[in-house]
Amino acid sequence: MKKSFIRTVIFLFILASIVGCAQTVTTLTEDSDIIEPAKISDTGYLLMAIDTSSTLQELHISGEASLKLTSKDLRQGTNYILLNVEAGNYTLDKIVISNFRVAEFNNEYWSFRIKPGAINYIGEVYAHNVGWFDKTPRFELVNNASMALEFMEDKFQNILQSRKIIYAGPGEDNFFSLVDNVSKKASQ
Amino acid sequence: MRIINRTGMFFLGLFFSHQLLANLIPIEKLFQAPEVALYTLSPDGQQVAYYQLMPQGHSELRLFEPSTDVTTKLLHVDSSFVLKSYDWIDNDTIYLTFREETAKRTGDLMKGFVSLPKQGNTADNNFKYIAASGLLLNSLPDQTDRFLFMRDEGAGDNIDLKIYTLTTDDLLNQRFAKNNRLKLHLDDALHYYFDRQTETWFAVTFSEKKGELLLHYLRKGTENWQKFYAWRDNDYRFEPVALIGQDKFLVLTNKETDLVAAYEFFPATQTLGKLLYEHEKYDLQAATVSPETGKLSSVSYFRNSRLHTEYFSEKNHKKSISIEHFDAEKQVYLVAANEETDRYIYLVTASNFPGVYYYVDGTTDTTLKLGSVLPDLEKYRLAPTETLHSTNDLGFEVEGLLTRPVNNSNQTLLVMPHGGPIGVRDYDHFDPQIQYLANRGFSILRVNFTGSSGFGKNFLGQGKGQFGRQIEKDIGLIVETARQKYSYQKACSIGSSYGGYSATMLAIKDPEFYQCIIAMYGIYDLPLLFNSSNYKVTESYRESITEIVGSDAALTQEDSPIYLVDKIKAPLLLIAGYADDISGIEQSNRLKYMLNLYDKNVDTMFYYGVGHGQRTFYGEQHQNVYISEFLHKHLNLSSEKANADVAIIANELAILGDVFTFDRVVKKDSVRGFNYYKKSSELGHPRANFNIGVYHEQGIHLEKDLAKAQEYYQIASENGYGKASFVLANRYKSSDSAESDLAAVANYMELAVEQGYDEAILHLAEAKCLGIGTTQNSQECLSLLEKDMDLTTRLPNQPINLSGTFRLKTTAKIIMENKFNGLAQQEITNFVTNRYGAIDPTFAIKVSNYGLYGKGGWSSRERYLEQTYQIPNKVGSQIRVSYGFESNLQTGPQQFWYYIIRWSYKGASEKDYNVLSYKIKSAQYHRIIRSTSIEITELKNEDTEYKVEFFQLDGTFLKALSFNVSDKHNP
Repeated sequence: MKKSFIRTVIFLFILASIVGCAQTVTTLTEDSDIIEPAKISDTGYLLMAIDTSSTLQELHISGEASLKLTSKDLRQGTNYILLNVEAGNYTLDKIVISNFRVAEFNNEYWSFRIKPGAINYIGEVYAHNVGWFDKTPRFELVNNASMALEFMEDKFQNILQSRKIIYAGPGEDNFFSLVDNVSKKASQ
Repeated sequence: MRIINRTGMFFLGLFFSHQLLANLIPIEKLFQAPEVALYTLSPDGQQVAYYQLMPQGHSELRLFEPSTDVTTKLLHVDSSFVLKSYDWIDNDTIYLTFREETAKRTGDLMKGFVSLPKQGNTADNNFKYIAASGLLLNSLPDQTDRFLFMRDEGAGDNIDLKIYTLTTDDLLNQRFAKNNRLKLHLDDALHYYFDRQTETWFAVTFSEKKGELLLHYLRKGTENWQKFYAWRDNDYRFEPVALIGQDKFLVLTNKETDLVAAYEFFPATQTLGKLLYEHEKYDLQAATVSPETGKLSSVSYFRNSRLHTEYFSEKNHKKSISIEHFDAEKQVYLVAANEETDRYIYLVTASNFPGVYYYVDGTTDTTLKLGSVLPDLEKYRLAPTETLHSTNDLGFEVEGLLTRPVNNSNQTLLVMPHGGPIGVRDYDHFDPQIQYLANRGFSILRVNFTGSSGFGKNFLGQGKGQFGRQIEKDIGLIVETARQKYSYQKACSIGSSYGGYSATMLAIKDPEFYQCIIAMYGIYDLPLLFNSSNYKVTESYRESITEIVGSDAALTQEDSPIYLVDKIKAPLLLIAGYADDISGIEQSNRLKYMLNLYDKNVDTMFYYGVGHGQRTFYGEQHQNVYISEFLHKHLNLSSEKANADVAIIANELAILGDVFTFDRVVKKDSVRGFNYYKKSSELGHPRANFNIGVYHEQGIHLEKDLAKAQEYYQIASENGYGKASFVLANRYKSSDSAESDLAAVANYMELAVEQGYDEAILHLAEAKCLGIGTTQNSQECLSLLEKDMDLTTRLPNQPINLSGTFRLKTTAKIIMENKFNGLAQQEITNFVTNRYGAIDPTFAIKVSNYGLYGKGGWSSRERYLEQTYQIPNKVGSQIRVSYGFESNLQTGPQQFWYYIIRWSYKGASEKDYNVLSYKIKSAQYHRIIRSTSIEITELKNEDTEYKVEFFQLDGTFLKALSFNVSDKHNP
């Protein structure tokens, strides 16, 4: 038996076991805070959006837990995703575009940290084809914090009132704090 | 085209500037594509090629011969294509590139040759498509049918550029013979250029290791490439102009000076030589060298933001004067030159003059007007621009451009900072937005603040990191200068990109002066520039932003509008594009969010599918109409207009109605859309009146009232709206209406056609061909049928669009029911056969099955239930006939033949005869079985004969089957 064949089998086995471990998750639909008091220091909300020019098959996130979103949450257009996940460091690993195309990231530009007890906005995955014949979209994690806030106000007002929303994407952003400060001043 | 002598041109200028002209300019006339463009001279200078936009929407590549004053169409370019460029291969052939309008910008350009018509020949079929990849490097126009063509012959991702000397025939047949390949290879070349005048080759390479872009050159008669210069993040300009001696070049650079100047440059030592020209205030934009002497021939720069060329050659100076004499305020651009034959094409333009192209023949000293860029605007007086200057606290002279309305000033100053802000500037060019706002009574002030290009390195550098600081101080300085010269009762700030930011900051810093703000595609949260996406947090990206904005750490909350919202007092119109990948929609949304949080007066226009500004003329139109509406509303400006202008205002309101109702360009707001239509309708706009009629008819936004709907349709029709006339015609046509009036149908259809409503053409053809409600008229019948056919034909020689049930049904009905005799009948037949194809006299229908059809028995699928001519009198009974075709002609599988099917029924009385349907169907011989069916939709009181008949396109009978529908066949 050739070594390359053995390596391939081992690689496929590892790949299958990694993929197999990922927990399939779907966005929350009910506007009620589901973080149990006992787990307030262990879990937090992950808020993100996907803006895609065509429906994607899967989105994989690894880290504190392995998560997999399916095409149900990755339809053409803009989809917001709100998940209750374990606090800790994560990386957006890969996006399965179709049966034959996978975009892999797994680097610092796609990493984020989920703080417990908060709504952690990590950004909007922008996935649009650039050229006419370009079958693989250009991917970018865009900071559209104000739009995400409007989404939460519209669809998850109760959760937003119970939990602080913070920016957890790449770089630093004070927008949520600014809104918070102004709102507090207005209510005083 | 007319020859005008110099004196004539001068007086023509005076005449235009003193005419008393119309007041408001329709927005469609300002924001529209140039009617002529891309003028070029043939190698012998005797012919001019240019691009002409036609009223029908397509374009033409045209040829004009100044000696004979004859214009010839060279090529019809369909509206779905955009001509990008063209070059003369020689005096008989033009090479052109074009792109499909819908294709992405990254797509490859299409290429072809156009042959000029020889004497006695027409210009038809003169286009030859080039399938080979590559691009024309130099047309060598002084050599007949010879040109340089470059193509990439590298395998996979490797670039390996090869250059060939080819003939048109070589390229069309993709003959890239080795002996036609030039031996001038330079490793890793990304592009080659050839300077015909000095016969010098240039090549570009990129060193990834050093991050350098290198230019190399190869002089005539030498074999080794020499390094010319390397560019690496230079903060100065360095631009080669021409070879002016043995390894000596003329360059434009500000490497060692503040201003861009003309220098000698020696590549061997990489040193600058003699300073040849430096202006005291402005960067040079361009320079030319005399081919005879190798000396500087002219330099160009923007003086008072207008292009000015200084000539050092007497000959060129003479040409220039002949054009500039026209009007000192106008700018003259040399578009094409042929020094050898002393012939030139110039574009003369100004901020209040979109431009005219001229042909100058130096041998006869004559000037010929070639074409006007926007002839629609010639009857209007456009607003001129004056330049203002003031010295800022840093000692720099700052320039402002003030455009004041020609008449009807509303005493309002609009301060409009430009985008960028670094390395960008405003020019005194024709600008449709400036002219639109000036035409609506506003004065518009633009400022070339520190950071703008064209005034030297120091001036540009002083703007860096000065967002909301020195830049706005400079703007304020020029605003004061303008206010000292003219008095203004009101003021607003308006700008796009950086200008959107600046407009907001100006109003924050001086809330007493600015009474409204229009911020477009802007940035309002400066720290967000450093983290707007995961790729924008990288060090290299942050460095590039820091270079312009200043460092992240140095920014304070005093620099970003979103932190200063409490200081915004004026109403703000925020315009943005969801597809803006430069500013990003988030910037505008943040400001909107904060303004709402502070309960400020904010109006938004966030456009779907729009990036960093509008990309279409229609987009520009409705955006500017909305801006004007916002300004009038918030500044309480009178909207009373002279009668002649009411129609223009009404049209603009209807445009806004469209934006909020139909166009899907912004979030739909049908109530706002309705309100705009209502206002527009009150001002008599025909289409708005029609829409109000529709609202009444449908009971949307208004009480359902058919009589009122009819009234509005009537008004719209009387005011020339074809669709209203068409709708009225159909109302009279309705057979179940008591008001059915066939004469009225024909009259309204005729009116609709006259008013340009194309859908009515075939309806009117039906009336004229069959004499329904009007006198039968064979000539009008044919002419209308041909007019309808033109609508379905995209281009000559393209397949006919056969879609449209109504078209097929009506044509069949006209063929079968017209009562024309002799020649008229023959003409109808000829028309139909020309349209659909020749009649095959051996064509025959062969019935394979017939009878009662439907679901029944054990199967849930529809099928023939019984082969019979006796059909039960039962609603839902379906009669079907299946058939094939026979012909003695040998045809290929793509051959189509056309025939007519008519279904009818006949009761006991002769009067009880009704045609149920007509159809024109296509037959393809290799497809064997087709079927046609009819359903019984109502119970018959007596025995009824249902008949299906097949005819040739000239009405010749082919086949018929009759079915008896009767209670006696009921099960």
